[in-house]
Amino acid sequence: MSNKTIRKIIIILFSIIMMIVAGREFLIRLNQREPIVKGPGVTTIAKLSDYFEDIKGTIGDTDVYIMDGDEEGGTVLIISGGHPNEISGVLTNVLFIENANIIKGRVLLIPFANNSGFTAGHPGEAYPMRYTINTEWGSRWFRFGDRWTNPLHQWPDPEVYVHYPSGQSLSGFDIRNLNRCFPGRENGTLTEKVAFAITQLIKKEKVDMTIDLHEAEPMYPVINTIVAHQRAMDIAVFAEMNLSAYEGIRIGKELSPENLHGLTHRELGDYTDTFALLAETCNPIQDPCRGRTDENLLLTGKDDFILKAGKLGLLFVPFDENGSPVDERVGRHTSTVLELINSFSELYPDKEIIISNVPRYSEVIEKGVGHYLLEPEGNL
Amino acid sequence: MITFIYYLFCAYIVALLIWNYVEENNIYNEILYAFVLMPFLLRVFRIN
Amino acid sequence: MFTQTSIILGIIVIVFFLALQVFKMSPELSMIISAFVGALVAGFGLPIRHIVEGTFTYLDIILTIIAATLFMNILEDSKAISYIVRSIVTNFYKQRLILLILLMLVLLLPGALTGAGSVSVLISGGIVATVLYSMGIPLVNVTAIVFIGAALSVVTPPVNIYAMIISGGVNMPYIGFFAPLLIPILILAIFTAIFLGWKGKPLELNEILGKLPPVPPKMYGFKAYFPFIVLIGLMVTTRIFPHTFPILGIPLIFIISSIAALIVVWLNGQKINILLISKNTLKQLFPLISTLVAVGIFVQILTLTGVRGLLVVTVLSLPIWLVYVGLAFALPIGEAILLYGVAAVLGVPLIFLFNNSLGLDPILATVGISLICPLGDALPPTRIIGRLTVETLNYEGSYTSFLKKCAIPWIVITVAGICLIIFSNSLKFLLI
Repeated sequence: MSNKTIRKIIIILFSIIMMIVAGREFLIRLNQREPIVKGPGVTTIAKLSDYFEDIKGTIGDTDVYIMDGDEEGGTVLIISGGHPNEISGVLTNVLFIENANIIKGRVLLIPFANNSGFTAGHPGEAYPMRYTINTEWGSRWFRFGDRWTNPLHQWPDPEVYVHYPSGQSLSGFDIRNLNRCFPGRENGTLTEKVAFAITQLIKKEKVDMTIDLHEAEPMYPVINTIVAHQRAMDIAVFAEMNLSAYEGIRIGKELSPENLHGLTHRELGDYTDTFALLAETCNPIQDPCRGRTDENLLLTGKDDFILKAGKLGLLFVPFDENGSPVDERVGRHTSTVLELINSFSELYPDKEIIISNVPRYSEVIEKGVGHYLLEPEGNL
Repeated sequence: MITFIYYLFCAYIVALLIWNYVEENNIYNEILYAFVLMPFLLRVFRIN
Repeated sequence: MFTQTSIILGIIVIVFFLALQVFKMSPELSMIISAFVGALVAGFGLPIRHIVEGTFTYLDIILTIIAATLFMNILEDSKAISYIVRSIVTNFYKQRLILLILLMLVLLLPGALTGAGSVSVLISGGIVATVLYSMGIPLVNVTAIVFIGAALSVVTPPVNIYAMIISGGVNMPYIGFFAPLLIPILILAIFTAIFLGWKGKPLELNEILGKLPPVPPKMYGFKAYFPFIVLIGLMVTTRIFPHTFPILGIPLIFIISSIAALIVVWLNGQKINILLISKNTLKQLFPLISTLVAVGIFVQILTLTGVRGLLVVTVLSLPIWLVYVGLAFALPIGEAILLYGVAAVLGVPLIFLFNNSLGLDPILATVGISLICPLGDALPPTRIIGRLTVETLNYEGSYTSFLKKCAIPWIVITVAGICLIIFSNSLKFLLI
C-alpha cells in the first residue's frame, strides 16, 4: 500500500470518526424525549392525531394534556414549542401541567407543538442541544430545538412559500415554520398538517381562548407584549392593565396585523371561534449581537454585547446587567396566561375558568422554575 | 417520492465525491473532502 | 466579555493567516483550522458536533449549485450554448451594440443560474471571448469584460448566494430581490461591455463562424432552447400553482431540466457520458462547495465563541461615514480572504446597521453589498475568478495590467453599490 493510499485512509477515517461522534449526538436529539410528569390536575394525555388522523405515526404527532375542572366552564388552549428555540413557553406549559389545579373549566396544553423542530438544530447558530434546570431534588433536562421543522422530516423547501389560503408569499424555508402555517392545510406539508390538526382541535374541543407562547430577541420589535386578534383585544387590554397594576409587569399589547398571515393570532381568530392571543418574552440567545452562545446565556440571559446594543438604542426592551433570566421570562408567561384567563372569565362569566396552584411572576423569580418541577419516576 | 429523489441525489454526490477524492493528489484538498462529505453522508443516513 | 472575545478573534485571525501564508493552505482549510483553534481557546474544547453541524449551513444552496452546474455542463456538452452564440452572431454581427449586450447576457446566464462566477467563465467565457476578440477588442479588454461579467453573474438573480446568506442571517425572506438585482446589474454589465468593447473592428461573419465550436447538424431551433423552456416552465408553474403542483425545490427543477437536455442529446443522436460529466462537475465545483462548507463551520464557531456578536456590535457602533467609505475596501478584501464568508461576517452586521439603526431598505442594502463583494474575486490571496479568467482566456500579459483594465468598471460598480445602500429609501421603485 502506497503512502498516498494510507494517507487517504487516515483522512477518511478522521472524517468518519467525526461523523460518528457528532452523529451520536444528532441521533440522541432525534430520539430522546425529556420526561414530563403528569401532574395531579391532568385528566388525560391525548394525541394531536386524535383530531387529525393523517399525522398519526409521524413526528408531527404530539401530546395534548387535558385538565378538566371540577365544575363546567370555558376552555382554554395553551400552545408552546411552536418555535422550539423559545424555551420559556415550554417551561410555562410544563409548570401548568405539573402544578395546576383546575377548579372550573378546562385547560388543554400542547407543550411541544412543533415536535419535529425539537429534533433539529439550526446550522450557523451554534445553539446548545439541551438545557438543565436545577431543582431541590436534582435537575431536569429539556431539549432546545430549531425554529423550523427538521428538514429530515420535510424536504425540500420551495423557492417561495405561498401561504394557504391567503396566497401571501414568504421565504421558502418558512414553509417549515409552524407559526406561519396556520390555519393549516389538510393535504399540505407536515408542518401545514400539524397546524391543521391544531385548528381541528380548537374546533372540536370548542376552545374559547387560545394562548400561544413565544420568545423574541431584544432587537426584535414585537417583544414583551401580547398580540391579540381583534376579537380578543378586550381580553388583552384588561390583562395588560392588571399585570401592570398588581404585579408591576410592563407588557405591551398589539393588534394582530390583518395582512400578516399564517400566525396563530391571525388565522386561529379568523378561521375558528376562539379568541386568539400570543405572548412574547425576551430571549437573548436569539439575538444576532449576542456573545458566547451557550446554556449559561440561554438560562441567565446576561450578555455584554446586547447591553452595548441597548446603549446604542437598538433594543426594543429595557436590558441591564441582570439580563433576562429564564425565571423572569417564565414568570412573565405564567402571570400573563393567568391574567388572560382571569380577564376572559370576567368578560365572559358564563365561561369562567378558575385555576389554582400556578406560581405567578414574583413567586417564580423568588423560588426559581426548578422549584415547581416535579421529580420524574425512573431513569432520567 | 420527491424527498426520496433528494436522498438519491445526495447519495450520487457522495459517490462522485469519493471518486474524486480517490483521484485527488493534494493533501489539503483531501482534508477538505473529509469535511465536504459530512453533510451529504449524514443526510443520506438520515442522521441530520 | 469584550476583551476576552477580542483575544479569541485575534487568535482566529493569526491562525488563519499563519495557515494561509506560512503553511500555504487554501482559505477554506485555513478557516476550518482557525475555527478549531478558536473554539479551543474559547474553552469549548473540540466541539465536534458544532463543526459537523456547521457543514450543513449551506447544504441546500450547495445542492442547487451542483444541480444547476450539471444542467449547464450538459448544455455545453450538447453544444446548445454554441448554437445560441452562433445564432446571436449570425443575426446581429452588423449591430455591434446589440451583439455586445447579448454576449454579456450569455456570460451572465450560467452564473445567474448557479451563483458561481467560475461556471460563467468556464461555460460561456471562452466562447464569448472568441467572438469579442474577433470584434477587434484587445485581449486585455476581453479578459476584463469576461471577469466583470462573471463577477456580476455571481450576484445576478435568481441565485445570489451573498443575498441568500445575508437574508438567512437577518431572518429576512429571500424574496423581492429579482428586479432590484437585475436592473442595476444589467445597466452595469452593459456599461462594462460598451466601455471596454466599443472600440474595435467590424465582425467578419464567415471568419468568426469558422472559429466558433461546431454544432451538431440536428441541434437547432426549438431543441436548443427546450431545456431552458422546461426550466422556466417548472419555475413558473410551481409559483402559479403552489398548492396543487408538488413542491419540487430548485435542485430538482434543475435535475428535471438536465433530463430534458439529455433527451435533446438523445434525439440528436449525440453521445455524452453523464457519469463523467457529473464527476467533472463535482471536480469543477469543489473549490466552491468546500468554500461554502468551510464558511459554514467558520460561522458556527464565530457564533459559538461570541466573535460574531463582537463583529455585529462593533459594526453597529462605527461612525456611519466610515462604514460607507469602508465598504469599497472591506467587502472586496473580505471576499478575497473569506469568499462567500464575507456575507456572513460583514454583510449580516451591516444589514443590521443599515436597517435597524438607519432605517434603510434591507433588500436594496443587501443588493448594494452583494454588488461590491464579488469584485474581490480578482484580488489576492485567492483571486479565484480573476485567475480562472486569465487562465481560461490564455491572457499572457501581467496580472496588474488586467486589473488596471478592470479599474473603471470596478469603481462604477462600487459607487453604484454604495449609492444603492445610501439612497435605498429613494430607490424603492426598484422593488417591483
